Amino acid sequence: MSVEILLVDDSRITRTVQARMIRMLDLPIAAIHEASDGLEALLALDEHPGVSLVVCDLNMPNMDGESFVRELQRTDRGDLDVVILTSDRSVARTEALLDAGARAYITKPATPELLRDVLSQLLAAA
Amino acid sequence: MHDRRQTLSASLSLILEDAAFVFAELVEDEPEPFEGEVVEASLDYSGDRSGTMALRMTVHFALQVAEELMVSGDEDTLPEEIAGELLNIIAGHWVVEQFGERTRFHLTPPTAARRPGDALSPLPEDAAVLRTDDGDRVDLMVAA
Amino acid sequence: MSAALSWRQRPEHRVGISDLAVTDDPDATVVTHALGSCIGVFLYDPVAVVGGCLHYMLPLAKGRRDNPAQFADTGVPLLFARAYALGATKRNLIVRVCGGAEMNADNDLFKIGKRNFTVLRKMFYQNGVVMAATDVGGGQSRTGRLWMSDGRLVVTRGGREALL
Repeated sequence: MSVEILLVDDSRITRTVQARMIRMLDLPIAAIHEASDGLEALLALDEHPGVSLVVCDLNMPNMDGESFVRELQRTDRGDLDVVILTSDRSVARTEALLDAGARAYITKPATPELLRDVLSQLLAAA
Repeated sequence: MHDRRQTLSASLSLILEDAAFVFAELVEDEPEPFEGEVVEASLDYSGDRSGTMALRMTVHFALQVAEELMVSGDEDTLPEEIAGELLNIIAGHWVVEQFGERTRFHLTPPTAARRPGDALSPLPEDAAVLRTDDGDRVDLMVAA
Repeated sequence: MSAALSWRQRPEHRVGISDLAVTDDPDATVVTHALGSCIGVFLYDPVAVVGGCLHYMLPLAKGRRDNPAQFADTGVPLLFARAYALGATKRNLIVRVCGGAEMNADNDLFKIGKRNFTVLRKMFYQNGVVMAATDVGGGQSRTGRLWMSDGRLVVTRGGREALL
């Protein structure tokens, strides 16, 4: 079954690199959508209800990643798999986001191999 | 001051290599001036610790990094985007390396602007100036 | 050839330092020793039954042409080209990498082991290659042996063997 992914990061560079890496993987990707902050991401989820996996930054304007994850839990999209991909490698933030409902927390810079390991585990469990 | 320069250098060289595939080493002597237009990105970190971090590189070098990462875009904004995102990753690494993995902090989105290479504000004494294998200069500094 | 035969009883393609070998012999093994700061890139196509290894020493050839296998940027394309020439396809190739150790940390001013791996990562990123497995870094030399019969790659480090 193919999957729709949403990439959320205020850096277009990062979204472009992540999308390239994800397309390199041997995963059944139907589509990759993009948003530049948590608010845009919520709108994108309304527009693309088929999205089942989100890769999300933390430090973003308008709505940051943690707020986005908490907001998802309040809506009917709490089932979404959210992978945090951030430059913040502190234990405090890792614990906070996993407690808030994120399924995985990885630090930048990502590699194709790390994305493959995390995404394929989540897709297999789905 | 020696410690901060060393930790800034370590974070900068690590992230340049891991995120941009660029090799760079700390310059111990008086650095050569930047050649050409420079893009300077800065952000603030706050929380348990606070300060401002800034990254400088030439516009030319930033465009080269974009090419290596196979990212295209408008040359009017691409160097700023590259410098800003590299700074974001470097800051996230450095704050934890410097203050510990239990540090709670927040990073502002980076801002970036271009300046002529000969019109930059003076470097703090504990700034890290690195030179890449291809001879490009990259500076990283913190004001806290 | 019986699956029970050890590597000693099989044809062996030995890859030296700054060397490469590719084979389509399903009974053979391909082995390389002394992977210190050097990198061993192993390819295996289970459909075409083609496999090989490149053992390179340095990241960039910078115009040198006498031995392409000595450098990542000239050796890796050559390894892939040789594999394709024997019938391997990019889609089916399993790529595994080992080596890149920091052999003499205090004196390793240029961090050759890590640089060797970084240049490889860049080439793979730019060419859409994802590594199936890696065993890189650390401070010990490695040996890698690829079994053409089933594609297993055995990496030995510090006297211990592990499948990669």
